[in-house]
Amino acid sequence: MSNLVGATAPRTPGLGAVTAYLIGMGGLAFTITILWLSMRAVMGIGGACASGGPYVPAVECPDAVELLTPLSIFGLFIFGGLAAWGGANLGGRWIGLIALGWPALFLSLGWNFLEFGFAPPSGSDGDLVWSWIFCGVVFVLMGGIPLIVGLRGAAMVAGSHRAYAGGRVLVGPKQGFDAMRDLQEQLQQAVEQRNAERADAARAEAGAAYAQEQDRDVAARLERLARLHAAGDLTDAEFDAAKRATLAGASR
Amino acid sequence: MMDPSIRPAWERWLAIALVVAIVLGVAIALWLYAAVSTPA
Repeated sequence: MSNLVGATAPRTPGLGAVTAYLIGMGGLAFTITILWLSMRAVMGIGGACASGGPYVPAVECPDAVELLTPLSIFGLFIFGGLAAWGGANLGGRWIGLIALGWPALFLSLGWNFLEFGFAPPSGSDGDLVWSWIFCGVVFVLMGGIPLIVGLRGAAMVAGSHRAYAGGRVLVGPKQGFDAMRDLQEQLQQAVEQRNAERADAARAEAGAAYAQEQDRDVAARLERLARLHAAGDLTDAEFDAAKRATLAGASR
Repeated sequence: MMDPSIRPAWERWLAIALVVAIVLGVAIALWLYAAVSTPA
């Protein structure tokens, strides 16, 4: 059974899958190179040629172009298909490499457009061929933008693997890991601060309750002393001394 | 779950074989193109 992309851990692949993948990838390199060379040959004779048919073309195609260009266009699909089939059996990373064929094709052909656009082989010297330069810019953008996006994505995936390898359970890119760690630290600080505030509040409340209790005690003792004094159990001197002692104790 | 950062041994050989295949593909293309272009 084939692996889905990235669904299972890579296992030792079969010889058929490896062979198809290697022939496919080598074949893609072959066809892209042939297309690149053929395009240079055609641009070198003015940018257009024809061969065969009932008419006599103005510019005959070079033999190599006539033979190899149709072959290499079919080859892109045949070798691309082989590489995709083999890569599907090898796993996500390997099938993903086929995507590099796109920037390889467009950047190399875009290079040809720019090179011949800025320095055309025929015609008056120093003239730029703006249509070729335009095509070159479009091709470089078509190849370069997916390449940059793809490489950034691959770097993020590699970052998440390193974070996982560090012994932490994490699904996501390295940036996600850092963000989670920051969030955890912020949360921990917030919890500690809240606990400290609660402890302060509890201490203040206990202090207020203690002071209130003290006030009640003093009032009760003064009332008791007044009752004893009124009943004649305490002399004036004793009452004054006891009252002063009670008030002195409360103000401490 | 298997740690994805640990790669099996065959992947190393496949990576080497892939580089060889691509270099070989380019080399064959250059050779074939030159052979066909050369007038008999």
